[in-house]
Amino acid sequence: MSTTAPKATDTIAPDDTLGDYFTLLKPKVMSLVIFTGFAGMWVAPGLNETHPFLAFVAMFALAIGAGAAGAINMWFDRDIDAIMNRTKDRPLPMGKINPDEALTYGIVLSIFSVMLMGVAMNWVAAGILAFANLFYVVVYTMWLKRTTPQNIVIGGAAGAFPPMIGWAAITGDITLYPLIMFAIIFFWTPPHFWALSLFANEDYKRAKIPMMTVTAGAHKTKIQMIAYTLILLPITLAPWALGYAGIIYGITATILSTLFLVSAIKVYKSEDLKHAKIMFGYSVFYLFALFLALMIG
Amino acid sequence: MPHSEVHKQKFKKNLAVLGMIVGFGLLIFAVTIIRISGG
Repeated sequence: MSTTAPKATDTIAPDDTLGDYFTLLKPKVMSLVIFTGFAGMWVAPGLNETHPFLAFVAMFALAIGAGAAGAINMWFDRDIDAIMNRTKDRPLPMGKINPDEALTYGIVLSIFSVMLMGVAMNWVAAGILAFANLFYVVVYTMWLKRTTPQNIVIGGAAGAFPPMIGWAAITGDITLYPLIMFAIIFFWTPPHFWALSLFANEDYKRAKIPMMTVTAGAHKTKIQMIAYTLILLPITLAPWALGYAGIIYGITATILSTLFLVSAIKVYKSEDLKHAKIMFGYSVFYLFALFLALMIG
Repeated sequence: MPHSEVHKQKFKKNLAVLGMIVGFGLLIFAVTIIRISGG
């Protein structure tokens, strides 16, 4: 009686589970993508004429596309993820998933998500989804993240596409309103990530990622955070000012954006990293609340 | 022939992939039916 020993090429991560493959998709990022994408779909004219199952499939395609980009990002960044405390428990640095399988998984899901969006809705939405994925993977992950302190300023555009995709899925085009939603997320991204990098600075330094806090220091970063939250205030009021959203949204956006600005000023005035953590937590709530107000208002 | 642990784990993974492929195929089919019927 004999058993066949596994070949050297049969190496698989012994602990990989379906849960690890789900973790590869960055579910927290996916939830924000789905919500903002749904907001874009919700406010788009023509949603009532859209079959609800197709609308659901469009959101599913968006979620899968975003997750796929996250998986490819985790594949590319597995070397620096292993160095950073915040990310060292991810499946790839832990050796739970074979890197080649992670890459294949991401690419296949990405292609599938674009095809699904195109077949279910239209090729405008599918095209924007494809572009957003490519932008996140190639422009942000592979190029900007490790080379410039403006990495999340420019690369953050990738996270701003979902409302445009949701809108385009219904209407087949892009107008000023979805562009405003894009701009809201675009200008929200830097203060959001810089708040994180203030209290995760040692991690980024160790991994040699040129975040603004690492290259320019905390003080200059805090000034820029205030600048971006100041710019954000009128942008978030634009939907109300232009008649796209009602007064409820206008009041809500004013309060939320003012509080965001106040939190940035508190971060600037204090050396205590507690304020940066509070601002980071608030920034997530802020975006959800703002887009919820857009949908309601 | 006894199945090794590697075989069992690969079989589970391959089954999951097959499930995904079938699931996606059904999804595309459902979407196509709805689009054809004017949805």
